[in-house]
Amino acid sequence: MRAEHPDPPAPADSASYSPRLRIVERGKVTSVGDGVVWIEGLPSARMDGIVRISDGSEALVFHLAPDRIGAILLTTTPALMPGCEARQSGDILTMPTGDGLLGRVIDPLGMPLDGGTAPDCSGRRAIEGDSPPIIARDFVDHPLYTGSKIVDTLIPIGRGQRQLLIGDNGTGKSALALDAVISQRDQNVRCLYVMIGQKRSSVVQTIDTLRTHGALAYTTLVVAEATASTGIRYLAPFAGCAIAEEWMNAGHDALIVYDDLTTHARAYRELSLLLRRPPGREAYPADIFYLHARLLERSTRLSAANGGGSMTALPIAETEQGEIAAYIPTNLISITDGQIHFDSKQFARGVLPAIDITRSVSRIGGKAQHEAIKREAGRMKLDYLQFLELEVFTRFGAKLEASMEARIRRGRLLRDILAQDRLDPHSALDQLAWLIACNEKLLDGLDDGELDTALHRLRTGAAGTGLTLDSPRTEWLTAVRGWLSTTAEQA
Amino acid sequence: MQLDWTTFLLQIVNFLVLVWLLKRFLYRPVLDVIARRRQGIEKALSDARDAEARAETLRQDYERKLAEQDSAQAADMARLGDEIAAERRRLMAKLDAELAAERERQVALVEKQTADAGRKAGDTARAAALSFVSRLLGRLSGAELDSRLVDMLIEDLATLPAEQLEALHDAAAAPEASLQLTTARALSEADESRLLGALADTLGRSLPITKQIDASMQSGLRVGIGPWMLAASLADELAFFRSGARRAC
Repeated sequence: MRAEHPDPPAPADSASYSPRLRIVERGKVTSVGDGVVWIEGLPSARMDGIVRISDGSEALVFHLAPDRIGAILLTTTPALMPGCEARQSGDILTMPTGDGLLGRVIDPLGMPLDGGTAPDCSGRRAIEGDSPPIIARDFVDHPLYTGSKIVDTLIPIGRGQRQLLIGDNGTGKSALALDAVISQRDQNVRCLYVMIGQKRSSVVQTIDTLRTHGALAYTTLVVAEATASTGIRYLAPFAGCAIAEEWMNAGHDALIVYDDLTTHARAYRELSLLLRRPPGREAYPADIFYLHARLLERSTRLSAANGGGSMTALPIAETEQGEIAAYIPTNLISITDGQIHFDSKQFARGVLPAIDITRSVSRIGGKAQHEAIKREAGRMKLDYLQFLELEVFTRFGAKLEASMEARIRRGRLLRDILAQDRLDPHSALDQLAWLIACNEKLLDGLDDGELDTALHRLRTGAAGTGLTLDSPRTEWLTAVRGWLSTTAEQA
Repeated sequence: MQLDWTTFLLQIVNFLVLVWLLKRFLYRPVLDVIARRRQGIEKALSDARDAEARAETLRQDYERKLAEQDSAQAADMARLGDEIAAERRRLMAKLDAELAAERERQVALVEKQTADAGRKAGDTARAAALSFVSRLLGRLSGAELDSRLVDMLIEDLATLPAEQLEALHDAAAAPEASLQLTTARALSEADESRLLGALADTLGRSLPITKQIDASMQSGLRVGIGPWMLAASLADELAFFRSGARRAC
């Protein structure tokens, strides 16, 4: 039998409207617990529809069974108990959107968590939306600088790209994501940082870091703490995505960080088990792939006819003992356009950032890299990888030919140059300056202290230069020589 | 001085000797000097002619090279001109493409903003209309309207599709089935009697009834039967409007 709700005729079709008896479905809450409510009845309920319960609570339909539905509790009241009446609202879950969210910390339902008033938003957007069709998309050809020397030169990221940050716990994934957010200052990129299932101390630290670096002004934090209900943790990335998607559709560039999708997968699994869904491969619900693919597929660069906006996604995935062949990591690797792998062994050796270049790849970022940086970076990654292979021989004390020793010396120099402190993003101009200095062998033969001074000089010089990435190389070379000669004189 | 033939002959001899001596020691060297000078002059003239010839050759060569240089320069200039023109065309094409893309982008954004603004205006208008209607009907609602809504329920109950009637029938057939009647205010006995009669006819049996008053309904009634609810109230109709308005956006 078809009920009136949730599909009444639209009032736009006013000619067909007639006042009459409405027959609507009426459900009954049978059990409540763990952020989930079971409702009997409502046979025409549909996935992601909102159900209103007589006590004032609201729930999101998440599981359909022949005789009942399972729903995620969005809001609850103390009066919610079995026996309450439930009715379909005909609504779907939406998020407030707009620039009023910049600088705010909100939960996945759009409620403020920063003690402020409700965000002044220009609109609302469904948290579950279709990804843009292929004809609405454009090539990824604009760079997005993360501030990381390794990433911006060897594993570049373009606006609209989906780049996975993967590695063991505590290897610097979030730091790189924060670097990327901080680097967007004055780049006209709106940022979203989605924190899923993290401790309150981590949330506070992240907010403080962004505020300290002046990045909060153009960033929105969507926070679902570890203490939040499973459903809220599950909704967090979709809520963030909806906000970023609205910016993308308004013609802006957006950067969204999902920190992290492994926790999200756990929340989804927990939710699935609570709703007694059958587990899939490796005891995970099999549709987690579909879930994450659906989420990340919404990140893209739109064509000019569709506003030309972009949404760059930096999903974070945690591995255990560096095992990237586990279910969730392999899912995410296959969905994204590349991955930056963080190695715990490198981290333990003090090689920071602990990015494992051999396992990291950016499949489309090269197209977006600026010509000048691309030209200078050239074969650098390949040379560095060859150096890493050659370096193995030095462990055995083998005597190498002069050319090999030169390559090893150069590789070590490059490793020293690529070392970078946490939360210390470098500008694109600085990247070009050290690349030119390195390629012109101007940094060869410097000891550690001299190298640090030289790099500092290059950074200071690049920051105050009137040159741009498009300036001729000769001008850059003259400038770089000038900055380094100042260093030499001081030495 | 005595002039005789001997003297005359001697003088002649003397003269001849003098002539020979002059020729031998003065005239010949002078001739040699003159010849050498002439040779020198001729050599200088020859050298000058050679130099002139070489200079002419060099001048011609220079002029040829100058002409070639001019020609090459002209060719280079033409090539440079072509390259500049090609580069300009390329840059202009790129600029045109960028401008076209930017124009397209701006048009798309303006269209989106216009559509958003239209949607928001529609939302606002619908919300205002609902508010007005709600207030108007709230003022007009009363026992008479309740009675007319009961009439509407009874009238429409008889014309329900067979599928809906069957579902209601099944719900009423359950052993523990009952009717939950919620009204904005207590119905008159006549209205309640008419309603229960019509429901009994439709459901095929009389069911136990529980009554409830809910003033938020403004006017009208709801009848709950198992998983179904028959709604003929102002609040439900306005909710129906609101839901439909959202869907139309």
